[in-house]
Amino acid sequence: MSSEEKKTDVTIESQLKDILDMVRREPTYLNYWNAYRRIQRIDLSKLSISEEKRIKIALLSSFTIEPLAMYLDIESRLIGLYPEIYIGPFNQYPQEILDDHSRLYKFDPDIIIIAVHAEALLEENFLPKFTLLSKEEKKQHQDEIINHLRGLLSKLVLKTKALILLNNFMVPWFSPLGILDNKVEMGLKSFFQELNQMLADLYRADRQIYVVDLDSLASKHGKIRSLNYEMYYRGAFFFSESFLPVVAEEYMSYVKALKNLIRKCIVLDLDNVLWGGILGEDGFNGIKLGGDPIGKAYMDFQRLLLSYYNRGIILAINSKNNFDEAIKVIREHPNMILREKNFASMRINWQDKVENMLELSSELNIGLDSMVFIDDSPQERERMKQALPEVLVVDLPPSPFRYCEALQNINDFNTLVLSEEDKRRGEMYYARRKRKQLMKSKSTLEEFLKSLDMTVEIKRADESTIPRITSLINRTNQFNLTTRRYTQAEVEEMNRQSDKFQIYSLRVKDKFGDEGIVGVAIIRKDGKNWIIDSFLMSCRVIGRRIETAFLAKIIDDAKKNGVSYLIGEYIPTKKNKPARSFYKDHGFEKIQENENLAKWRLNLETSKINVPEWVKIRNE
Amino acid sequence: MNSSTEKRLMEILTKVLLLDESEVNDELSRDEVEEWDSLAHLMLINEVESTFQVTLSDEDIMSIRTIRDLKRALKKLGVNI
Repeated sequence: MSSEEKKTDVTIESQLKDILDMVRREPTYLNYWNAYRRIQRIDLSKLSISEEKRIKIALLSSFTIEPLAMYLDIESRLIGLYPEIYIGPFNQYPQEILDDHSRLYKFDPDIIIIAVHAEALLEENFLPKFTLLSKEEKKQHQDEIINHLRGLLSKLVLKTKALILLNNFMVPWFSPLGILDNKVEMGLKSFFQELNQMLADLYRADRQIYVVDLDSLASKHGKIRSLNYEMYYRGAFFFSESFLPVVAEEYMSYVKALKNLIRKCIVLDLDNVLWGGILGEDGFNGIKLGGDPIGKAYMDFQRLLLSYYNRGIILAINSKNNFDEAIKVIREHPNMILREKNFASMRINWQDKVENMLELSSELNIGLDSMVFIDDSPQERERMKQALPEVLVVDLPPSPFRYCEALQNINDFNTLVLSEEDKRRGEMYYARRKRKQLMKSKSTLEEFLKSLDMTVEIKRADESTIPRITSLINRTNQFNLTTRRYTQAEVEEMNRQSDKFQIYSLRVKDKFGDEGIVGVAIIRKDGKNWIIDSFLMSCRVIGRRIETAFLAKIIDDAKKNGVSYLIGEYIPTKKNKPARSFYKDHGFEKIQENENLAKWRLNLETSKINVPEWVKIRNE
Repeated sequence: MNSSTEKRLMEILTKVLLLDESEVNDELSRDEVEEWDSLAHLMLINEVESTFQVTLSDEDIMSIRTIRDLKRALKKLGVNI
């Protein structure tokens, strides 16, 4: 980049920052509008932006969708993304989808939002006629709506790899039948509830289409407040200005999940977070946990945390306390919901909490930008925010009655897939802690690795493993040679083309438990060459030489297929240094290198890879 | 004239229409301000309505062409401007 270009970048970036700071200070509708329109006037095409920071969102709608577009644009920028937004022509979403040459397809979006309201799909006199309709006629209306949407979406998935977000319908709070609505065979509310159920069932197993639960969002916000009638009649606006941020936040959950801007670990203080009172002053029997109203609130907060743990969020402790006193509560207090095994790591000491946080991050191998910090002390929170701005610090309300709500409102824990491995992640971290204890008791690394009784299972990808494979592809940063991200639909497509691609998963078990699938490799076949398009291992198993066993299996398969050369690619990122010397260490020769990509080659006729003796390999 | 009302109207005008305070005057019309498109117009109406707790009539909304028109419509609804 020339110095001239750099200067342009800096000027534009500072302009952007000023505008976004205004929204940060005062997130009003007026300021979102102002920011959105001002940014549109800036020529951002000159900025050099990395692929992982870009996001293209298309909005197709039956109503005026610009206000949502403006929220998504600004919200994306507030988390460091550079969005491009395409707004389809008003109420022409079917044409946009059906026309192969529409601007939608030229735009090539990463996410397509289809926002259709029920009124657009039903005849104008649906409401007055409703009570006169027979059950069959009502069912027919439902089928028409579902078929209309299904037809459009099936076309869409043929034409694009984008993530597709379809909203469900707001179940009306009013029915002309009043209290009898659920006494007739299909009341007005049931009509929409059933429609929503049909949509959910239709796309339950789909990995490209997600149904956004607009009805539940409107309930949370209050259905009456979700619509601004003035703006609805004047300009076909469907979301009121108070409801818009709620809707935008939900769509942002998908954006964050797609761009992997998610949190994986909740780090907790103890006093006045997991229980009421100060353990050092109130003692084991004096802290509030269960019993009185405050104590019940703390138990409920622990229950909520446990529900996160059971969906794969890691929990850890960062608290100023005497370790022996605190661990006694965790192990023995009858009303503790969370126990020692639920915490991947514990820092209970008198050290600075920022220090503890850094240690937790490196011990757990979880980036600071994936961590959430919960502490009741405003001073500790401020200190954390200042020292480690990447950490998400929850603004915990003063009253423990509101703790659950504060945590529930954080939309940073979402992923697009959730495998069995993901759900059991907490358990695995605990096993890892046990493994570390074993390591300390062994004098050499080799002795330790031998004592683990490791078994590695390497398999070709199939339907059951693809969700986990996709999740690893999108989450692994450190031991990841190319950091290429693929959606589940893309992985499935590659796996179908078995003449061009070969996808492997690697699973590890040892005497402490089953780690599940922790490694993925994607091979691109090119005649006599096999190219390693992706090769990645979860940081959980780095340092056990399992990657060597994985590579050996690929070499073995390549030889069986008459391949002469294995080509390895390495794309450097800020995070993948641990993988840098992988090809060199395994005897590859460098054949090409520039700052963005290095290519390595292994001659399969002359090379041989030794699998470490402590790894037992089971092939399918 | 109430200066805090004036100030709030000024903020709405400058922020919705992307104007500097110095550019805002009563004669300024929709034809001269590039940003004053139909969406911005509705945004403007919505913001003044919620800020000053009034509802403009459809005729007024359609006939507002200048900032003077907007002020006149607000005055009619009892906004002290």
